[in-house]
Amino acid sequence: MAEQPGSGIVLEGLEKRFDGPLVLSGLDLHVRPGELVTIVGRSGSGKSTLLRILAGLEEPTGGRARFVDASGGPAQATVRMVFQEPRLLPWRNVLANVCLGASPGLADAAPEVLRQVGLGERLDAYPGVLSGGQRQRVALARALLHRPTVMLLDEPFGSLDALTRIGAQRLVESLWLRHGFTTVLVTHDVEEAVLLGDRALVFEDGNVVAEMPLPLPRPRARELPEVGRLAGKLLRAVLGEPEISPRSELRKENRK
Amino acid sequence: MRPGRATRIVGPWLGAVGLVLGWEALVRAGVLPARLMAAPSDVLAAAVRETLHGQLVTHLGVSALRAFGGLAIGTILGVVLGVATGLSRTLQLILDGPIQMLRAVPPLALVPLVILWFGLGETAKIFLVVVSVIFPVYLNTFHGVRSVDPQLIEMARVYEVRGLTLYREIVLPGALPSILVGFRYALGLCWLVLIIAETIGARQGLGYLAMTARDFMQMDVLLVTIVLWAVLGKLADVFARGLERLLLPWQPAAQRLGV
Repeated sequence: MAEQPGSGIVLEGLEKRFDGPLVLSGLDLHVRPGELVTIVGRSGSGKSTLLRILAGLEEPTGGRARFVDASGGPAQATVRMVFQEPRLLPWRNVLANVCLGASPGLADAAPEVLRQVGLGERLDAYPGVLSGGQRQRVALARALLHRPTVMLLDEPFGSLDALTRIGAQRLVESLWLRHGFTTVLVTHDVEEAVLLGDRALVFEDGNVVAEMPLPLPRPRARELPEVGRLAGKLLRAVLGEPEISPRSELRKENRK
Repeated sequence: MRPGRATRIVGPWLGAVGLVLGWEALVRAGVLPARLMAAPSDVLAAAVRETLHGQLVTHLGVSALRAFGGLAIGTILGVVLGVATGLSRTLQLILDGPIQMLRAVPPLALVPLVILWFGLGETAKIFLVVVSVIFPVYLNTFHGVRSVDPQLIEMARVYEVRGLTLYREIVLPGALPSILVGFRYALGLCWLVLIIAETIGARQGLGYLAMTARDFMQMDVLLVTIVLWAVLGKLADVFARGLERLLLPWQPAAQRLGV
């Protein structure tokens, strides 16, 4: 499969309002081509809305979002999205689901893409007989087939059990390393955000309130103390708690 | 208490066989007057006689043609109307009101009108079947199209699936289970309406056969037509279920339901 470089994403004063308060309030953000950005935040903080705007499912009510190439010029991005639910067609088998909307030329690569997500043997199966993890991998293959330059993942592992989730996270990381698409991953799970992201963003009230670079070597093991430390820090940022290092907390305890 | 394996196999037949035997015994013993009730054996003999020497097969064929012809036309019209109003709010606003009003009219109330319009020929009978079939198919198709999972439609937008492909891949398959429910209901309804249509000025068909049998007090022939009606109803149901399994192989329910 010929690889396409990822597209950069530039958001300038992005605003979105559904009848009520602003869901996105003047968001400015640059995502480098090929970067994997993870977004965490409470429900309703605007994370999913951002993805839906990038996917073309919503129109921003202010500001703009554009895709750029490596030199900063405008780019024709192929944007694909994996939702929290697999959203497969129950009346089509795995192969036909993956080929949905694909040109004949792209569809030829479907068996190979399904092999990459570990479902090369299940081409004829209907979604109804697959497990939750398998369905989500079919959804991932469907997105991959189009050789996206931007991949949007909206809590794709949210409904998976813990073990399946670990496998799916590793799969996404390996596919990203292999294909080089720019990725925006929205998640509730701070550990997941630290394990996968080049950078983690914290959303609150429709804007980025904290940003954490994650310069850790890949693949990252969740047992690493650094992962745990950063995940804890990220969680406090999501909860809006002030920065307290463990040592100062200890001192407070001693004083009592 | 769950019935045992043997009961489950024999059970459905036990009731039917018992009914027929009891019926036979009551007629033979003279409890039921032969003038008002023919014994099952006489009914069977009449069926054989009418098949070999009479026109039973012709009558059956004519009725089937009317029923299925009307069913086909009515189903197509119902699906087309249902898809149209299901997809377009404008068409729904324009068409749904009149359709709901017409639906409230029992098809049999149209009989005098239909006779004036079309006379006593085939057109009148098929028209009545069509009218009775359209509404259940229309309503279920409309409902089916409206209840197609919006998440799938949204997914299709991200994957740039539009126009005819969108209908072929998502809207119609999504509405199909509901359309088939309407079709199954219509299948039962078309026979119901037809027998009444055939008692009015028909020269052929099962309804006509029943009317003449009544006029000549041929109790056995009359019962043949009634039994045939029951058999046809059952066959129609088996056909509809087979169609569901054929068209909805992905539905776990279709795999569980035996025919």
